[in-house]
Amino acid sequence: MKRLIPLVLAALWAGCAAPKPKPAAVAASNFEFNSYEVVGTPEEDTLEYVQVFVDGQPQGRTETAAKSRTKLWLGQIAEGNHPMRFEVWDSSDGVSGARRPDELQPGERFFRIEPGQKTRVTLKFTDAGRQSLLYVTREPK
Amino acid sequence: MIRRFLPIALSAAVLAACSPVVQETEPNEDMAHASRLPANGRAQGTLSRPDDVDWYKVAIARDSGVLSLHVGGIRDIDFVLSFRDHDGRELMRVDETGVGGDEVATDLGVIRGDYYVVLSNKNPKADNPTQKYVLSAKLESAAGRELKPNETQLMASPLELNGVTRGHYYPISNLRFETADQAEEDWFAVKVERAGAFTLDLDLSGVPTVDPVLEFYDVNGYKLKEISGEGAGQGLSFKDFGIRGPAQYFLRLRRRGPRMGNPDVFFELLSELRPYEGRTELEPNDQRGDATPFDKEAITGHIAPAGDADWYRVNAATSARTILRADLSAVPGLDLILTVTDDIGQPLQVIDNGIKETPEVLTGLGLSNATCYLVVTEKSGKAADPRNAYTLTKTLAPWQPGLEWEPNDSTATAQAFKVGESVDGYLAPKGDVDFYMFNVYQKGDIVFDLTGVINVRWRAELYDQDNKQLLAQSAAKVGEPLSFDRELEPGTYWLKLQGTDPNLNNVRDKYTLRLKVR
Repeated sequence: MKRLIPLVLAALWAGCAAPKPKPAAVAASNFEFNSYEVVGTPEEDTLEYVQVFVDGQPQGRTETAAKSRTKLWLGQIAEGNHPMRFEVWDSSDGVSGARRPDELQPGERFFRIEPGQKTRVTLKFTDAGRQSLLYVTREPK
Repeated sequence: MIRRFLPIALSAAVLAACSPVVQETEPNEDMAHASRLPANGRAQGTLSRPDDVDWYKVAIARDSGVLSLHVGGIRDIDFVLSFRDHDGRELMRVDETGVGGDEVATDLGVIRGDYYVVLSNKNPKADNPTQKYVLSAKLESAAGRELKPNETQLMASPLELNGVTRGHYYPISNLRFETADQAEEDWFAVKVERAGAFTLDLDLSGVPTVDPVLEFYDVNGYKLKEISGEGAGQGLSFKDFGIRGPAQYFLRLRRRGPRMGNPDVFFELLSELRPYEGRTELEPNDQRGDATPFDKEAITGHIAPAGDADWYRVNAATSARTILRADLSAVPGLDLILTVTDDIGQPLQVIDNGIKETPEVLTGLGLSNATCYLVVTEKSGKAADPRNAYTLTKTLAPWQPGLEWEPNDSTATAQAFKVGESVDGYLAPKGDVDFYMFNVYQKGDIVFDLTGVINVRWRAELYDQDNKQLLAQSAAKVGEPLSFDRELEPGTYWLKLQGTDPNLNNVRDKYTLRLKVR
């Protein structure tokens, strides 16, 4: 039995290190949205997710994760200038969600989707979610 | 020298007229053979040789008191006056004058029992075996008096609370100290036995030739505050020292310069201990951790000593968006600055609009956190006259749509609003810049209307979402409104408002900004 342990460990390592297949959405996306919060204490680091609205329509949402963890949403958005809104929802159990009040939601604003470029928007919350900052970067696809 | 000791000599003369006089009884060269010195009386004796030593025993027949000693100078003799307890341990040694000079010991704290006074000579060539000296003693009540020796924290005299404590800056040198300068200092204990919060005010009278320094210490010996006078002969004052009873603090009274002292004139230390009502600062509040809670509408404070910084903690105590407004009154001779910091002490806004002797106004700051701090400082580092307090008032009001939300000094903190709406705000403090962000959903001609404000000449700049400046407009002159229009494509835009000169601002009058589609 003892002889088998290195083999089992090697197999496990190989399974973890092997490249994972890229989701189709990642390969095709021209828009990446990231969101995270700066939290003061571990107790404040509760679960949340962010819904993404483009042209007033819901497009999807990030995974549910701790506030301090970067949460990701990838999308394919038509080229052009689009109003976008990012709604933050608190999730006490990781399944259900409660929308934060309007005054704690970042305002809607336009983002330009350029041809041949990937637009990355990062939303950062500070001051217990009271302050939000949006950063935009672009890179060739 | 004659003038210096004139009052003591006069008192001694008066004392001589009505107090008993005894003669020394030789041999009296040690404790066992000490001559008697009445606690309120005089003794006469001679120093037969240069190394002659005369011991006197003073019997104190009351529970407590303050003893003063004086020996008049005689030819050839350089007196050293030593005061000792019943075991012969030296409590004070005075040697302030040279050959022929008087020596004085003041404010000696005594209790019932025997004490000893030892007179000796320092001049090895002394040759005056026949001339009699006069050694005088005077015993008074200990109430409201300094009790020497009190040159360390451990030996501190109790401070008379809500009363006056009198003492002397004398002797100049403490010969029992092993330090190089041997500068005499006085310690006082401030003991508050009642529970609760209190403020302590202190006023120290001026004494000719002495420049005093007063220091506050806690029981651990940590210095909490230091206040200096404004020169020799000047007193000093300190207000609103915060005490949470029961507690004990210590005051150290020292002199700023070397060889300062005065045996003739009392210092008077007046103290006033009051229950704290939340209407005054609680010193020391020089840093965020010691900030005075600012719960009422107004609070008063003093800029003292020079370079003082007064921190106040403001708790909005609400999760709703709140606007903080604050007014800081003017103080004669000072140019005050009001700073607002966040809950970890990072400055959010520095209000320094006015020149010297003008008030400062925080027109409105949006509190995104429940706690912030207001800090009052003086621009040049001057101290205020202690009679002149400043008053800091504050209001906390809920934010409403249509009001400016400071800080909005950058595109990152720009305040969002919609075309078709208006917003009221202040261009203040000095150097203020206000950013507004708005979205245009359909191509159109957007009209910008900005009302005129006294003392402000407007400059407006419009940026698109790629931070490209689309236009810049300035009002014709100070106080005039500004209006312009621009055809805009759908997108997000930022409007930057400021004065053409950073000094142009207005803490009194709001502006109104309107955006509409034509």
